[in-house]
Amino acid sequence: MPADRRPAEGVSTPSTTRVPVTWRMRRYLGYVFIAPWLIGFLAFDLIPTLSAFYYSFTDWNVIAGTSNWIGWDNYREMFTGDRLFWPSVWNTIYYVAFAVPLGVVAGFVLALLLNTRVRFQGLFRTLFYLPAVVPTVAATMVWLWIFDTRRGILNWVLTTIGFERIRWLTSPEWSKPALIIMSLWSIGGGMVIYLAGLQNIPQDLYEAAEVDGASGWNKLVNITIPLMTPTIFFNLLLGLIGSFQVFNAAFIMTGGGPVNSTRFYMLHLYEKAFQQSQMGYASAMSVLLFLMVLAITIFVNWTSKRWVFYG
Amino acid sequence: MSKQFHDRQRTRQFQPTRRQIVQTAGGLAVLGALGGHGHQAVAQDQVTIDFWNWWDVARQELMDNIIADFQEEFPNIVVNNVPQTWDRRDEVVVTALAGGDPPEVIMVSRQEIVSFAASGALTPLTPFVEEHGLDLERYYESEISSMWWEDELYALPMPTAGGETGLYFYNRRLFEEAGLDPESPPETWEELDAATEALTILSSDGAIEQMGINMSISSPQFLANLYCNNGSLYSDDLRTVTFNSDEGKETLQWMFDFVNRHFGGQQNVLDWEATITQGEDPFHQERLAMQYQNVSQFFHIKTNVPDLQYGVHFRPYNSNNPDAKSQGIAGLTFGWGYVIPNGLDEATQEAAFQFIKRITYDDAACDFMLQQERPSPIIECNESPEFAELNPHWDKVQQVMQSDVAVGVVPVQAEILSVLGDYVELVGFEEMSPEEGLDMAAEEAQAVLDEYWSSAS
Repeated sequence: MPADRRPAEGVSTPSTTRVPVTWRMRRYLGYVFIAPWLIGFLAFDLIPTLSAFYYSFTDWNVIAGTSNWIGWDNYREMFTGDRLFWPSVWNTIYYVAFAVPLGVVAGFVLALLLNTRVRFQGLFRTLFYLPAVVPTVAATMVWLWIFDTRRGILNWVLTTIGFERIRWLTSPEWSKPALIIMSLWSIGGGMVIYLAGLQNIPQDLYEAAEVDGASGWNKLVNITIPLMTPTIFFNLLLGLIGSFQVFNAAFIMTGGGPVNSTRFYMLHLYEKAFQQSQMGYASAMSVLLFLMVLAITIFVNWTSKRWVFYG
Repeated sequence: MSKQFHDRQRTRQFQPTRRQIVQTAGGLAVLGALGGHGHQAVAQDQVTIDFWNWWDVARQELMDNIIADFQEEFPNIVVNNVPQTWDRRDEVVVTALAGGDPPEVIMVSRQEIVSFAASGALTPLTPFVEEHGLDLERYYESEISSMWWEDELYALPMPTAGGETGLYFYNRRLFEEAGLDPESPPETWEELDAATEALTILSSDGAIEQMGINMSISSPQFLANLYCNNGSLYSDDLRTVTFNSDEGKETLQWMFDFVNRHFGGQQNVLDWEATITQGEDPFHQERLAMQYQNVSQFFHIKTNVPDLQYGVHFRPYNSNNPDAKSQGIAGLTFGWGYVIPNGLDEATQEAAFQFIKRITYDDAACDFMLQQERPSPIIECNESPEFAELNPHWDKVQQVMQSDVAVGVVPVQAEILSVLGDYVELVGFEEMSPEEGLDMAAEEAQAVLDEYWSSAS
């Protein structure tokens, strides 16, 4: 080998015949680093999900540890036999249809307001975000008081301005709207994401628009909203997935009543699984929920090509 | 008995000095240095029991004392007292059993005992009871009978399942204010009707200001009243639901009329109930004149409102039905039993049973109830004069314990009660008549029951 082709002293070169062990191991090092996540994903996500598919075709008794293959019986029972299945689906769709758009719009508007230059901006941001980190149980206790028919602050405001009292949590007509209003409590989480998105919009776009004489409304409609669509899309998806699984508020505040008006899908599933020990049936319900959420996510993703602008 | 208890408590308030701690640590280190052989010998004999229960807050200390005494007597058994939270209790218990590594002793409800036993998740206690020579006749019949499933005993009771529905508490001052005689509280439905009329105060817009009695159109209230009208939940062989009998329909119709006449409807009752903040008791606040409440109320009154002037009487019955009488029901929702999950080795099973015996059968069981001034499932405990000294209403408590009847429990009880609850609620909201509601509930509940028995056979 000519002297100028020889490696400098102390510099190793890969062998052409045999790769050193350390070098080969390096190829697998990445797997070692992701192993904690991978193990968690397999143990707590993938395997339980696949198991749920299997158990949805059985009469699994979780206490006895027995499961017999019963084919489509659980699904048949769900669609034709379970008196409370369709009400739970309807209640959930009603909730999703109102709570998700309301949350997306309210979070966005709040972020717009808090993105303006006002005094104590940081304080306001913190205050509006705080409810998002309050434990649900504590929050529901506060909301029970707010919604109280006789002593609640909401009805006090309504009667003060001349309206009738509303039975927020004790009438089937108002119980769902009450929980939808309550869902606004946690818009702080979405607001923070919107704020981050708003701060990524280049200022020169606004300056150029101002030079052209654009009004505030024009800037909002033609610059802010289009450039925020990826963030709106993200929050919309999170909102949809979370709202389909609404559980805590109904579980603690109404127990599914009155007259099953707040019996949401997850609450019904929970009762079947843990109070009536019908784990096979509950698995079938969870599979169906998974498929519903998946279908809606795919649909929203498909529509995003028409309205989400990535710049 | 209570003096002994306090003496034991004093003994246990021992605070070691730093020197004693160092000496103990040194001693342990020397023992450790002596090698593993001796340690292994100790470990082989030692049995550890995790005891899951819901005796929280004030009762935890009482239970800790019982455990300390138990461990003194059985130094080879270590009992870890593990009080649980109420949040998602069903989920926690089911997951523990299904997970294959449950605690050695669990406190479970009467419904759960039957449900878990039917699933084969529990160790039958019958052989242990025979081996230890326990006399089950020491318990009230209504208490011990719901611990059985298919000729095997699966749990021992503590506290009572009885004393839940058979009594009501009434406020003597409010009675006098309303012109009623506190020495003659209502005994029949008719008398209850008249007293509630006098004791209920509605505001100008129809809201309940003061409630005569906490009657609502709900399935627990329905079942409690049903048994005071000579009705029942199931037939004796547990194969047929019977709550839609003539007595059942009459009971629900009476409740419906009662709530609408006195309180302006079920929604008004729900609104009133919603004003009760968690931890409050409207009876303590004198906003409720008569209260259906279980026997734990004695302890709560003494703790929270010791000056409250109150009386106690038996749940009113339908005097128009010659076969009806006042009686409480045991085993529907209230009361607990102690079980040993399946799959433990013999030594652990034996140790777990010894501990269950201690808290449900021995003197400690009486003591634990006495400290809370509530009755024991053991008849002779309640005959102790100390109870009567502590509680002037004790004679009524004893009578109601004797007259309580055990409600049949089936493994699909939760589903059946859920069906009944749904339809009774629909009746309360005037979506259907009482007769229609009970017939529809019975049809659905019977289908659940039939399916269970056919699969069980």
